Amino acid sequence: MEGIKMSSSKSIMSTHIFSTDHKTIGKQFLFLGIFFLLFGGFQALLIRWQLAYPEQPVPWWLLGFIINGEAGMITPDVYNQLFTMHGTIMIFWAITPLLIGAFGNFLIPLQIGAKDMAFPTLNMLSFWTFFLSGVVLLSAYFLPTGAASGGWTSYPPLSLPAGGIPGLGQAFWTLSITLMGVATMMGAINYVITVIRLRAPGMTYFRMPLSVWGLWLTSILNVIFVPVIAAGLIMLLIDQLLGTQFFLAGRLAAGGGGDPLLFQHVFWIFGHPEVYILILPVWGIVSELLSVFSRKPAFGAKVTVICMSTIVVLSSIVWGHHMYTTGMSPLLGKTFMFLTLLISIPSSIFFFNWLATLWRGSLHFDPPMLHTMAVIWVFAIGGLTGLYNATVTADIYLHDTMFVVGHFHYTMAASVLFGGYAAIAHWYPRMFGRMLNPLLSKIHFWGTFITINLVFFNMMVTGYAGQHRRLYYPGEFEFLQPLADMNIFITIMAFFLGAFQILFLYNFIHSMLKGKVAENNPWKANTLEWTMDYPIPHGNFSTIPQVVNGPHEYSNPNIKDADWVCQTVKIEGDS
Amino acid sequence: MGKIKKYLPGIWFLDPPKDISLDGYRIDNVIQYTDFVITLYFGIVVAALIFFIWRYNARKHPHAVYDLGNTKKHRYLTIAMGLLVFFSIDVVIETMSFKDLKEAFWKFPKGEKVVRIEIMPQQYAWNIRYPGEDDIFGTDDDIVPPQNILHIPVNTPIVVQLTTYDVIHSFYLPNFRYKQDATPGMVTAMWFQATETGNFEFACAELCGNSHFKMKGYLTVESEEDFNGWIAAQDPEVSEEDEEDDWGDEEADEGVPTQWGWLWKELK
Amino acid sequence: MSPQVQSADLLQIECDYETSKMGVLVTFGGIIMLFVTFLATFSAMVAKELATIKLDETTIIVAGVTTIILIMSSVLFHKSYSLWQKINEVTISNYFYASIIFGIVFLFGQINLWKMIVSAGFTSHSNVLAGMVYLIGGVHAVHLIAGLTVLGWLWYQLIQSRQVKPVRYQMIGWFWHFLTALWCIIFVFFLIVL
Repeated sequence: MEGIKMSSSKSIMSTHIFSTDHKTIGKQFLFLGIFFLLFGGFQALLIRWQLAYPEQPVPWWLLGFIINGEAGMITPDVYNQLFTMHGTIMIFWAITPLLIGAFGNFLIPLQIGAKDMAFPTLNMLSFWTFFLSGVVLLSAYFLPTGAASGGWTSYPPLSLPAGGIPGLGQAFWTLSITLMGVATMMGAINYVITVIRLRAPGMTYFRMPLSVWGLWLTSILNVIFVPVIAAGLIMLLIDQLLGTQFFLAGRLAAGGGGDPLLFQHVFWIFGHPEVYILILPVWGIVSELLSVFSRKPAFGAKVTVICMSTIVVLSSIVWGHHMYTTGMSPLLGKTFMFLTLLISIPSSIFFFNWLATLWRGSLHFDPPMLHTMAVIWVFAIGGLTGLYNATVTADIYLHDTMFVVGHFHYTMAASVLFGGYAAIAHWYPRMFGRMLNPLLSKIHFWGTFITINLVFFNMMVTGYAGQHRRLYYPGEFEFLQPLADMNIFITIMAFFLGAFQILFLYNFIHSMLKGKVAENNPWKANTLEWTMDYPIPHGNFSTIPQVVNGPHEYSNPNIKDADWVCQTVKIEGDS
Repeated sequence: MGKIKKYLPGIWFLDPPKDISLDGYRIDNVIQYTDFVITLYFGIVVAALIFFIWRYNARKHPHAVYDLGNTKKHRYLTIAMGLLVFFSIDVVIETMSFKDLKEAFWKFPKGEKVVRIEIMPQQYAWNIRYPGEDDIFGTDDDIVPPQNILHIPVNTPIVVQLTTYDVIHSFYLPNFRYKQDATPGMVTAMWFQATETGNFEFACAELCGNSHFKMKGYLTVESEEDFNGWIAAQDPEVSEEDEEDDWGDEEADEGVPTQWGWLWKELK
Repeated sequence: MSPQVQSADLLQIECDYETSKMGVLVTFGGIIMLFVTFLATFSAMVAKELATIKLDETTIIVAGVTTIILIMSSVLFHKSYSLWQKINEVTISNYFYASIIFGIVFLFGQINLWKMIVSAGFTSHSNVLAGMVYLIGGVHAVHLIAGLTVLGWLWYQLIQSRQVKPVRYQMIGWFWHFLTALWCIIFVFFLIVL
């Protein structure tokens, strides 16, 4: 381990680009994540355009002039590239850096009272490997045959050369995700060790803020399951490039041949935990912020932690519910269904704890709180609609329809987006020393909240009405023609949703330069990251704090004149 | 929700395709029960949220009650909530689902009256094969109608075995609430039974390439006499070029595979 | 569990050894998961009878010999470490060179082994199990090459008579032993399954 090197040379290279300061790296991840979020969101709008107005050229305000195609129209291969890259980018290059990269880096050392990550150089390497993986991913667009178009799941044999997708796009996809996995591993090892080793004195595991718990559990899942997908991707990559046949079978396999189902198993053994990898930081942040803005301790914090840990364990043995229609044996199907449904016990327990935190609190509806409450709303819908997909019979009908798309957008897109916005709004003063404009934040919140529900809920409705996924032109089928109006409605709402994100971007950049200068602890929160002056120096704490309280001592009757107390201040009269 | 359908464009619920199958109602029932309970629970959550926002906002309730929620009573209460949700939703739909699987979807029909069909999708078309007079697949008298044309008799169990010519496809029958993947190197099976005659569509539900969206089949459910007449009118083992071949893709022009039937697999 | 040291500097130094150790162990965990997935896929392929592979005795003997060479390399590295610890922590011993050489010999042995399997008719294109054998061996070899690079770095530091932190020397040793142990497990696994 390096220890902290206070470099005397304050060149831009070392302080802003190749910095080993976890706060700078966190911001780098944040900016990169927002860039990819916008990029992926833009692709989503193009997908929606095609679904609603399949015969009309893309207008200029959707940058129709850069879409290669006949008279500005999206062609089927471009459309397939769009949804493939949209899914890939949003999952691996937008959500991952936004929550795990940015807030994992920024919050973990600050909230546990450490000077930096355990391995600062590794941390920097993690970001730049991640950056490189993004470059590889996007460079596929410059291939003459374009980027990957085999879906974000990239099932072989379609994703192999024999599957009929021309060019190297698929190989670029596989390679970039493998690189991303390496970057994620570096980050995850760092987070896991930092939490275990660098907690300040007195910071016991149950005195850690729940946001750190969420991030830590996510990192543990990452360490265990990213190598699994790496193994699958390495096999897929050499299938694609060297012509082996691990995932090829039937007529396409010249001799020998393997089994395409193996890839699906490996993919979902990683893929299902990945869902929780993305959502766990949000759960932690929501649990924490609810407590801050209710001015009340997080209800049953220990139980919440135990529930999240249980879900971590359960998440690793339920992957089969993604494969009910592959013709798996009845016994396996039943087992996976039972295990999947077990997840609803811990989920409903901590969900109940969230609501109980609000009960008898004193709710302050600042922008972070609004977003946090929105997570409760969208996650309730997302979680409950998961029940359909966990049920074998209902899933036989709903599998691979827009219902599934709507469901996982509720859990992964809406929840994560609101969780991310909550986190940005809450920690923005710590990151940039200024406040976000509250009025713009509230307009952005309400606009996003209304439109996002109309978009994703109606996606589920179209799925229930039978529309299957990844259709270039649903009107091809007679039974989907009545859905044309609905698809147009969803698309219009999606455009509004996109417009509100532009508002956020404006607020984000404008407040960074001209926002109101923030005080040191604007939300009157207990946790350690609010204790020092802005800007927080490299090394965070001049002396490592001694922690004496849990993170949620709000409205403790023993505190005089305030409803909060820093984790380092002893409360008189408290046992 | 299933029954209360008001059609306000873009806001309210749309019908699923008409159910013409013997067992599709089972799936609809599971979905409707789930609709009902999750609407109930979501309603409770929303009601609680609204109540908390109204009653406990900072203006009305400036001092929060210090409550860690870590007493035994609290823990039992939360665990009871978890179990309540589990038993009222999960256990019920699990029981329903298992029962349906056991009684219908995984209980393959046996006997004389079963119509057996082999289906082999290829990129952007469906190849369909009936056993012909000798009732054995892979022989000279197999009936291979033009691509994408599937005829079945009404009120007769249909057993389909699937494999694929190239990539993974999924045989999706919206009117039967059913789909089954066709994976290279393995044979999967499904069965269904129609209760109404008419013309319907079936689709490929698994992404299979650029023209995935055009991979459509035409399903005709007809009376047994009509079906037998249609079978008799087909020439054995003549793979006609699909007249409606307007795909315009080179991939589809590779032509119709010949000699693709396999011996019927006895699956459990 | 929580560090009980007050001063910041002390905290960093106190954490140094334990933290490095833990970091290396977690990394091993990740690498193990990678190979567990490969081996599980391999087992699934065997169970589904996708292919068969039959090796003659010479191949197995050669594989055994290369395995012993790798174990030798590991043992020699350990000897070099204990010697280095005993003598003033600067000198470089012959054990160290021998360890590197044995490591390289193992790699060439692996290449030779692959050639033998290919000449027996099991190519990666015709036989998925053979493909998996090459793949698993190859990924392991990539890790070995990474290990050799680190050994080279250590060698450079030592001949420059620079002070190397004992924990680094020790962790590099751990990595080397870990790769050896990993290969032994893979080898035994192949012997049992094939």
